[in-house]
Amino acid sequence: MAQEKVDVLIIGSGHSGGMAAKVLTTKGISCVMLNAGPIAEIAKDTEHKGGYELPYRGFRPPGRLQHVFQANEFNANVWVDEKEVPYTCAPGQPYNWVRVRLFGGRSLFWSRQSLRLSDYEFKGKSHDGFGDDWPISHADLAPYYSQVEGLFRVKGGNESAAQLPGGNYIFETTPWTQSMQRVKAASEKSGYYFLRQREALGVDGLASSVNILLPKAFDSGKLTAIPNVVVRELSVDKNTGLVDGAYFVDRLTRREMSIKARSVVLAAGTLESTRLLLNSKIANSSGVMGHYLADQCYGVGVTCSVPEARGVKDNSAIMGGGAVIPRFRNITDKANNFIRGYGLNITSLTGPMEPRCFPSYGAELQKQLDLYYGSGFSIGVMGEVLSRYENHVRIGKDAVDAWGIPALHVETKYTDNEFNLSRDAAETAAALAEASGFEVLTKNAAPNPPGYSIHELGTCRMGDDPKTSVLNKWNQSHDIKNLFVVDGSSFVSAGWQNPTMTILALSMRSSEYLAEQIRLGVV
Amino acid sequence: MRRRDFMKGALAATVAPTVMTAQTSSPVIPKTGTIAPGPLPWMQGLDHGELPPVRTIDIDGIAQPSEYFFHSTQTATLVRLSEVLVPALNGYPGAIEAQTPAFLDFFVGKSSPEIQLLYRNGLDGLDAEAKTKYGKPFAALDTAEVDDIVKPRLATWMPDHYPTPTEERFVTVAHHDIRMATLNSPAWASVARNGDKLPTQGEIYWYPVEPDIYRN
Repeated sequence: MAQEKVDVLIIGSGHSGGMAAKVLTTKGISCVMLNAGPIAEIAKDTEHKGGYELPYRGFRPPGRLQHVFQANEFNANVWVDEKEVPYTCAPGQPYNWVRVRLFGGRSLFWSRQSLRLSDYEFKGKSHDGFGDDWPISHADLAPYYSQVEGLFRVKGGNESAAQLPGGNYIFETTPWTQSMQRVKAASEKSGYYFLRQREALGVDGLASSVNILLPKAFDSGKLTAIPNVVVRELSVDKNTGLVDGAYFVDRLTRREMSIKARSVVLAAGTLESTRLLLNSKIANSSGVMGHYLADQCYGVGVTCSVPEARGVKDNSAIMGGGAVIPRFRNITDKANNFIRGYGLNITSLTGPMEPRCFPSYGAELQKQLDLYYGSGFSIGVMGEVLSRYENHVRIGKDAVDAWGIPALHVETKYTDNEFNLSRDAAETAAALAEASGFEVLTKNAAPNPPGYSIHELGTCRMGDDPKTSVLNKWNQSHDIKNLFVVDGSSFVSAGWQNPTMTILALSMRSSEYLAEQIRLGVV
Repeated sequence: MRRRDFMKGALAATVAPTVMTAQTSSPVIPKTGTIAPGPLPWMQGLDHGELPPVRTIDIDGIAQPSEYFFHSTQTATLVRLSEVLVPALNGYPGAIEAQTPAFLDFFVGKSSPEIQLLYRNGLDGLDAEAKTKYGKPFAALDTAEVDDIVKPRLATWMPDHYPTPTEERFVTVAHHDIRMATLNSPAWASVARNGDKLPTQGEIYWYPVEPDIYRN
């Protein structure tokens, strides 16, 4: 039963793990990918159903997934069961950790918003004095962003702003609809950029690791994958101090196994990668592992109606389309009670309005739903959450998961900065809608609990100083040279943008670096 | 390994002649792993073709719950509230026809303590106000009287952010739940199927994907 060492062990199969596999295998490096969950087969595992066919009529099954606001009865089996893989939170500080362990991870389910970070994020401290700068700039990552945008077929406009750099897009040239033109005019009057939405088209409607990245890796003949294995710890060679593999348990049979590897790439998702490192008790000479947890605050915004679109048989010239207003606060001016800022997602809706938009019921509600049909307009907020040392995760004292692996304890909360930013954003969104002549139907200024955006970031941040960071600028452990962490845990600051493109670009850059180190015999 | 192969061969040898004696036209070769104590493998016949359909009935159409979460006054209040918030309209069934109050009794009874408290206090609050204002239970109010109590409690809201004041919160949550349970009811779907009306939009349903055998 002698075991052969694999070149690179990749833990996780989502966007970051898939990118690592693609880059490494196409350079001739053999990889084995471990994934904690099974491989989904859409034809076998899904079926189109009506809510009336389900025991709970479509509601989230009681007692399950209390932190997953996105869950309902249709998708409840997709998310990680909170009893099977528990985590704990500090009292009064809820955290919504939303996880997927299917092969492909959360890359199977994401909103496709494809934004770059700018140097207002990479060099945030230089701009406003808070936190730390990243050890890289937009210029360092730009070539990788371009490749990722090409792979994922990102659609966007040909305009850009310093706070939202443009990219390698499939240019959209369709004219703005009338409702969008009005918000565009109101935005520009206020001094805001109004840019076309940037979204990954992917292939056949899917923009996942499993259909964009992994097929190329498998085609190379250099990648093999093992589903249904939960990694317990990384193993370390006592003589060299390098990682040399992993101990894992078969999810279904509980069989304990191990695998040997020359290098390890962690891509299990921000908090799972950090949990694994903390449980392994390695790579933390800085003491900052687990700290600086951040994300974006979501849930704030307004829903409106465009009066001219009501009762019009064909309102396609008025309604439809999406845009993004990149951060404008604290760029050239200074907000009163918060630093950093937020972006706005602008969506001109078609189809029925939601009943929640009207304070009525019964026949009166139906009358309003009919009248307002096809006139909905949404402005949603994506706010930067500051990276603070005190917002952290650690291994809890009591809880373990279904395989006896110690669970994570999360202690994080939003501060006045996030709450003040959210209030400002809600007011700004409402003002923008009113300036556009829209009727504001409902508004919310309170952010959802931390974690809700499913954009957890930080906890293994990168930096030039090994005393204050876990990883170097190549996503490589300062302490252990053959250990790389390529998911969102390397983020120094969260920014207001959806992080997917940045995670992919970082993973590509890091994996190319690792491949070169392997070629040179350094790793 | 050898012993197992030998056993399989021995079993096949003893079964085959027996079957051939009874039916000379089609000898049966038992499949490995499903050796039954009788003449044929247990799984015989299951590997080809569809099983005949089974006619089922919706459980609420024939059976009664053995236990209830709400007490009788709360149930009566919920029934009246459901009747007014989601009445039968445009040929579609309302909450009563959809048996939504009974569903919510079950659903809330299985929900978190916070939701249970919200419903219980909310229903009690409506009934108390009805008695104070009109000297009769909420369940006995006419529609105008229900409107008088419920409408001031209505508020618009954003997803995941129900109104904060408890009374508004309850009416908003209850309205959402009653409406959703009604639109996703078998009764609603049945009317939609039988007429030219559209059923509520379905979604992709995910079955458990290789569920962990130890999951409780």
